[in-house]
Amino acid sequence: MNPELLVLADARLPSGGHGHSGGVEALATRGLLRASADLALFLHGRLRTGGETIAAAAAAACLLAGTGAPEWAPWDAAVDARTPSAALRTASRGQGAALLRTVARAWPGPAITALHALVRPHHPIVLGAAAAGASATAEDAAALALHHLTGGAATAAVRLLGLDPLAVAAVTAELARAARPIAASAAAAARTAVAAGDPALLPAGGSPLHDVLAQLQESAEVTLFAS
Amino acid sequence: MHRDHALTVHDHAPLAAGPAGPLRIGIGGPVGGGKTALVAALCRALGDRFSIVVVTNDIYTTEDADFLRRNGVLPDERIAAVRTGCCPHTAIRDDITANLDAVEELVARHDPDLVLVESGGDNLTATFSYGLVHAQIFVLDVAGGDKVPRKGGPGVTLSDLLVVNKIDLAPLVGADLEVMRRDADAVREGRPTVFLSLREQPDAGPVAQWVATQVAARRG
Amino acid sequence: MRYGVSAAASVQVLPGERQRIRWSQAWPILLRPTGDDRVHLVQGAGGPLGGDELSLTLDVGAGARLDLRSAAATVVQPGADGGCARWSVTAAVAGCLHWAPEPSIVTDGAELDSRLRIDVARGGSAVVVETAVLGRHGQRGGRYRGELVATWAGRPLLTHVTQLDGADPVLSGPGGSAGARAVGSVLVVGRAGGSGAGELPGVRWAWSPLAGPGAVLLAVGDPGAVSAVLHEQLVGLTNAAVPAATR
Repeated sequence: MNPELLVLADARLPSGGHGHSGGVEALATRGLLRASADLALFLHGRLRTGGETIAAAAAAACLLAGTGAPEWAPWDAAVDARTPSAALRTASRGQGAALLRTVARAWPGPAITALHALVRPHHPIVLGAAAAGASATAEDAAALALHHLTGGAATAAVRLLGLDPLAVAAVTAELARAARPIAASAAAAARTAVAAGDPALLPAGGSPLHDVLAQLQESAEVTLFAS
Repeated sequence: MHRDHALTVHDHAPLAAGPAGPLRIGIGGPVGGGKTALVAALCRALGDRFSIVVVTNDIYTTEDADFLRRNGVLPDERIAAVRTGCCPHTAIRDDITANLDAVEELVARHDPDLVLVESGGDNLTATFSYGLVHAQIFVLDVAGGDKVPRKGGPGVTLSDLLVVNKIDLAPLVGADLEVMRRDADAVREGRPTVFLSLREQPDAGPVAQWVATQVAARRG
Repeated sequence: MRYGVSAAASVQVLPGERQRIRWSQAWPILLRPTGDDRVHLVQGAGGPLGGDELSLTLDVGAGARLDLRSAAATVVQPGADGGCARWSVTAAVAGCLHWAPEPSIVTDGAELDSRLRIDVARGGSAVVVETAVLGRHGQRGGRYRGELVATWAGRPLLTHVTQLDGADPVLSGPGGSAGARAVGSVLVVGRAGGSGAGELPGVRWAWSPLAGPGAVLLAVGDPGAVSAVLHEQLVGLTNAAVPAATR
């Protein structure tokens, strides 16, 4: 157990995450997500679609950060290409910039300094680089990214729908088990991509509905969450 | 309680430290106290003298921004809205990153003299982090009951300026302003309290004056 | 019932005062030129079936133009020995490509693996339409995996894999298609796309700009409603972009 990773995984770490619902608000306002069972189904879907994609990006960033001050731009661009929705790119960059503020103070180093060249790097890139600063493995970084994905959405569901937080805790624990093999395959893909120096080899799963809803959420008149 | 005070007073020597750049003032307080009206009043009263930008943290309906626009006090591009995911206090206290982002972007674009950060309406415990603002105003209204200052809470006790708004309603809601004054003074260790009716004083005279003093002090 | 076939077809468009189209077809992928710049793709057999491996290569030279369509919807059926039907399109575009096939319908028990790679050179442009439909009417549908890779001037523009499965509660749940049977997309590279988003009975759709010169329209919902949105948005694109004289 790496105690530094617990700090990085803690929702209390300032990183702007509380303003994002991971797609839950758009689903909830349309009645597509009402109960904790729906939340579980939703997040299993997210793990299998976009989850592996962001987990692999984080794992790759973790591996790259271990090499000193990497050339981040092509890897950040790979996240751009894997995020069709402009609203989701903005959300990812906003959370990346927020997290970068914190990790620049908490885990400074050449890899983090090099990230500032991107101005607003994508969240999984910052998360992976921070994980390297906290002595994490690529698998840890991938798991962190999935933890962030499920945790943010679960918290938002509790706030928006008044779900029983104990039931939701059971959902997130179960998802953490489901996330383990996805983190492993994401890390393996990241190792291949980093070894080849080719971000195009990163997984690229996504969900068109998630992208459409993110665009609709952005243009909605009343929203509590930024995404 | 007293130890807390000592710590916080030490921590918040408002203008000496805190974030770089122009003066940032947080405006917080419960729902309906008149925060947005106060922001509008300050923009009207000080807009000629200072370049001002505003960050709002309310439920994102663009309503606050609309309110400011309608009142002709601030053009669109000087207002940024932060969505707080149902947690307005988190956004101004525990995880200020989204607000820092919004403030810095407005500052980079407009190079203002004054940044007003308006919190979403919250309870009496919601205060701003001094990593986000240099000073904070807490806005109450008399309709909330004259016992509020006695209850205390960080907003009442620790804000750099306490504003008790809507005093014109005091007789209607049976609020005793003297009691409020006495209770506030008892817990605020000399920090100022202003009684105000924005309806009768749309220029927010004493508050605007206090803010202007802070801007001048920040400029040195 | 037949066993899986492998076939590779190609279309090349050479620019010139009067552009020339060269093609090579391979059963069951048949190609029919239907205009100076238009080619129709005809499936020469039922299917594709599981086990088929079909590919199409497109090369549109600078200054040339290709309008590629299909004559009918592609109905993917399970093969004799199960397995996945593979369909891949690789396009190099320095001119102007419009690729708008009819929907791919993945019937119950069938599996389609569709790959589209399009490399657009600076100065080139492409509009690429894809529609995946889970099942015929009344079916919940088989499995679909669609990979879309688009680059512009050598830089990645969009890399996206969509997985659909009518029989998988997770992929047809709220984190997947939320019960929708059809997913349609219009990818625009190297020229202006559309804008806007909407929700109509049976379909939700949105345009999004990409992080580069291009945009994508995504529509998720009932097959008919998705097709209607795609059609309407394509008409909007065409009217906005093509000079009247060439229409």
